Amino acid sequence: MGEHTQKRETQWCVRKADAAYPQALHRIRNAPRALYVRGELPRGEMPSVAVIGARRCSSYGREMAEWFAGELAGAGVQIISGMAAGIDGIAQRAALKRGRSFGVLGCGTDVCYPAENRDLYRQLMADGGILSEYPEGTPPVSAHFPRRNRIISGLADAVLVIEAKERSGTMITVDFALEQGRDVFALPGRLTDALSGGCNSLIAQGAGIVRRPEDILETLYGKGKMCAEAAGCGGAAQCRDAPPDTGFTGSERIVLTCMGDRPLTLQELYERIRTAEGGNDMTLAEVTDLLMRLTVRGAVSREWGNKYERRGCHSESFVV
Amino acid sequence: MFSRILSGAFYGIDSYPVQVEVDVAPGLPCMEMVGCLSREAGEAKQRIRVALRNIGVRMPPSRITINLSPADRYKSGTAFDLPAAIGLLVSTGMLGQEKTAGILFAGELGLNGELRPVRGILPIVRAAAQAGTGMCIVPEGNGREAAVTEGVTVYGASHLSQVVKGLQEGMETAGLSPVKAASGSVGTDSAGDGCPADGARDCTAANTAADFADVSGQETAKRAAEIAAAGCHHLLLIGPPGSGKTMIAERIPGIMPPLSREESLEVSAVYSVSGRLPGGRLMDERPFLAPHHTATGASLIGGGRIPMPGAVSLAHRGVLFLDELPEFRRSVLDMLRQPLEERNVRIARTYGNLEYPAAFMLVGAMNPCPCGYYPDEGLCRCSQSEIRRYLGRVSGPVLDRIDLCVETRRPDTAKLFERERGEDSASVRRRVRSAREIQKKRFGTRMRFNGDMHPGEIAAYCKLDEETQRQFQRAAGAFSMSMRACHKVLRTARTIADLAGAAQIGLSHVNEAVYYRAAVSTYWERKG
Repeated sequence: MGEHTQKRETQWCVRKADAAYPQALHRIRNAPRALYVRGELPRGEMPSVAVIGARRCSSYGREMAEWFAGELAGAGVQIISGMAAGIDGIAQRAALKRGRSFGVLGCGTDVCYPAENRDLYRQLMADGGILSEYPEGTPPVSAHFPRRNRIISGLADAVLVIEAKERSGTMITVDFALEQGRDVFALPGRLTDALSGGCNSLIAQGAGIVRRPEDILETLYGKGKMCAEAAGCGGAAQCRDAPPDTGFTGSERIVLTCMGDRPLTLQELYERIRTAEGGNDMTLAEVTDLLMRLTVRGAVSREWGNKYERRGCHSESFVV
Repeated sequence: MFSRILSGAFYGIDSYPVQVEVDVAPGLPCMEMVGCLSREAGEAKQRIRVALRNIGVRMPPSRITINLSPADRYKSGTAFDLPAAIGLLVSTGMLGQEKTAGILFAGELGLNGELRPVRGILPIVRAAAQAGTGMCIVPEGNGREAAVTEGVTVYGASHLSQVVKGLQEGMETAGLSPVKAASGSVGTDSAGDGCPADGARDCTAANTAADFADVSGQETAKRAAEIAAAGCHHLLLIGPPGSGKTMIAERIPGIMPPLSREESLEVSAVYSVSGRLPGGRLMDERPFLAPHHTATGASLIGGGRIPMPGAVSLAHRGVLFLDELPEFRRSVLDMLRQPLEERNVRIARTYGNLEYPAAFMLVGAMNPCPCGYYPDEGLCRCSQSEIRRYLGRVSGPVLDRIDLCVETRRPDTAKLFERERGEDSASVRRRVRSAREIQKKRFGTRMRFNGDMHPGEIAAYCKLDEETQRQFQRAAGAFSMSMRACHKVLRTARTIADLAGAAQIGLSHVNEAVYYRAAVSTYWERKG
C-alpha cells in the first residue's frame, strides 16, 4: 500500500509528442506542451464529462451536482473538473464515491488549492489524477485559472454546467468548450436565480437541457446503448435516498409548506408563518422548536448563513 | 508638635486607612512630604501652603514634615490635601487634636481653599466605616457618594475655611449638616417594576430613552436578547449594515431589572475609583459600554501604572457591546478570555495585584462578510476566501463563549413606516425579572445566573427526561456540537425554561437553545 501510494503521489510529466498524451488535447487550439500529472491521466477509451459550476452555489446546485456527477461516474464516465470550492469539488467528491475523477489545477500539482479541499486532493490522486500544465511549485495565480479551463473542456467529451452566473469563470470554460466543439449541457434553473442565469442563457442559445443523467449518457453512448451499469439506473426518484416518511403533525406541515422555495432564516420563516393559514397564532418559540425538530428528523437542512431549507424539495417524490 | 489625621487610600476597588502625620519643629523653614507618593500626591504641599495663606492662616517659619503611613504603599491621587492641611493646623496649635479624633478627611484643595471632589470616595468611606470610624468630612461633590455607606455621618464641605470653622465652633455654625443618603435612587429589591422614583436617571443617558418598542420586526433577535438578558448569556448579533444590531444592543440594559442596591454599590465602587460617578450619585442604571474597535488591551481590561478599571469592569453588571467584532485586534479580544471565564480581572503590577470585578454580559455585533451583505447574492461582492478571512478574525476562544447567536435583517423600507411598534421594554423586563427571581432562588444570590453555571451545577439543575435527552443527543449529532457547546445549550435551555416558568426543561426549550447556539457553527464551520 505504502509503495503504491508513494508511486501515485510522485509527479510525472507527459509531453505533446508522447504517445500517452491525451488524444483529445491534440485536437484543441493552444494545447499545453506538457502536462504534469500525479496519479493517472484520463483514459481515452472511457467517456469524460466536465461538471463545472459556481464556487458559491445554492443547495439546489449542490444536490444536483452530487446527483449528476454520482450517476455519471457510476455509469463509467470520468468526471473532469477544477477541484475548486463549490460545484467543482462537490461533483468530484460525489464522482469519486462511484467512479473516477480528474482535477485540472491552475497551479503546480504539489499545491493544494483551495486548501480546504485537501481530502479531495488526496483522493483524486488515489482514484484518478491531478493534472496541470504548470510545473511544481507554481502558486495559484488568478491569471492561470481561465487558461486551465481550456484543458478541462478539452479533456471532456461534454461539459455540464450546474450553476453559473452570466459572467463567470464557468462561462469561460463554456466558451472554450464551444470553440473546441464539445457538447454543452446546462441544468435549468429558476429565472429569478442569479446563479442559474448562465445556465438559462446557455439553454436559450441552444445548449442541451438536462433533466436527468441519462440525457447525457444517451448522447455519450447513443440512444438505447447505455453501458450495463448505467442501464440499472432509473429515473430521479429511484436514485435518490428514500424520501422521508410523511408522518408530520399539523403544525410541522404548516412550517414545511412555508419553506419550499429557497433557504430562509428563522426570522423570514416566522414572518411567513404568521401570514400563513393556521400559523398566525404560533409563537416564535414554537416555530423555533418545530424547525429544530424537523432539522433533526432530516426533513429540513441548514445552509450557510443560518438559513434553513426543506430537504428534497427538488424531488417529485417528496410530497408533504 | 506632632499630629495625626485619619484619611484613606484605595488600590483597585479595595481601600485601606492612611494616617497623615504632620510634625512642625524648629529648624530651617521648609515643607517635606514623604510616604511613597505619586507626583500629584507629593505636590499637595504647594496647594496646602497657598490654600492656607489664602484663607488667612499664617504659617510660622518652621520645618514641616508630613508623612503618609503606611509609608511603604504607593499612594496616588489628591485626597490627602485636606487631611494634611488639617494636620498642619493641629500641629501649629490652631486646632485641638481632640476635635479631629475619629474623623476621616479626604479631599483636594484648590489654591483659594475650595474643596474639590476626588476619586474613590465610596470604597474609602466604606472601609473606614467597617473600621469603626463614625464621621467623615469630604468635598461637597463627593457627599452623596460617601453618604451611601451606612453608619457614618458624612459632611460635604465646599471650602477649607468651612471645615476649620466647623471643627472649631461646631458643624451647624459652619453651615454644615449631615448629608442624607439619597433614597430611592437605587432600585431596591422589592420595587415593583423597578423604575427609580426620583427621575434621576440621566447617567447612562442614551439607553433610557431607547425602548424595545422602537425595533420593528426582528422577533428572533429580540427573543435572543431577552433570553440573554434573563440568564446573563453572551450574545452575538450578525447582520448587514443598518439592520439594527446597535439599536438592539443599546436596548438590552433596559430589559434587565434595575440594579439592586448591592449591585449598585459594586458598580459604583468601580466608577468611583475611575472618577466617573455621575454627579457623585450612585449608579442606578445598568452600564452600557461600547468601546471602539481600535481599543487597546489596557483600555478594555484596565491598565496604567496604578491600573484603572477598563471597559470590562466599567461594564460590570451591565452590557459590554463590541461592535464590528472582527475589526478588534485579535490580541485584544483574546484578553477577554480570563474576565469572561472568571467574571473579574486580575492585573499584576510591581506594587501588587489588583482585582476589578467584570461580570458583564458580552454582546458582539458583526457583518457576515467584509461588505456586509452575504449571503445576499445580489449585493455581496466578497469572494469566498475574503469571507473566510473576515470571519476567521474573530478568535475561537471568544466564539466559544457565545451562548446565543442571531441574525438581524434590514427591514423593508416600505414597511418601516407602517409597522406597528413592537413590545415595549417594560413588558420584556417583567419576564426577565421573573426568570431572574427563579435564578435567585436556585443560586441563593442575585449575583449568579444560569449563564455562570459550572458543569456540576448543570448536572444538578439541567436534568432532562429520557426522551428529551435522546432528542438532544440527536440534535447535538445533527449539528456536530462539542461538549462545551452542549453545556451552553443546557444553560440556555435552563433560562428559556425559567422564562416560561417551567421547573423541568422540556424538549422545546432545548430545541430553542440548540437553534441559537448552532447558529454560531453555521458561520464558522469548515465547508467541504
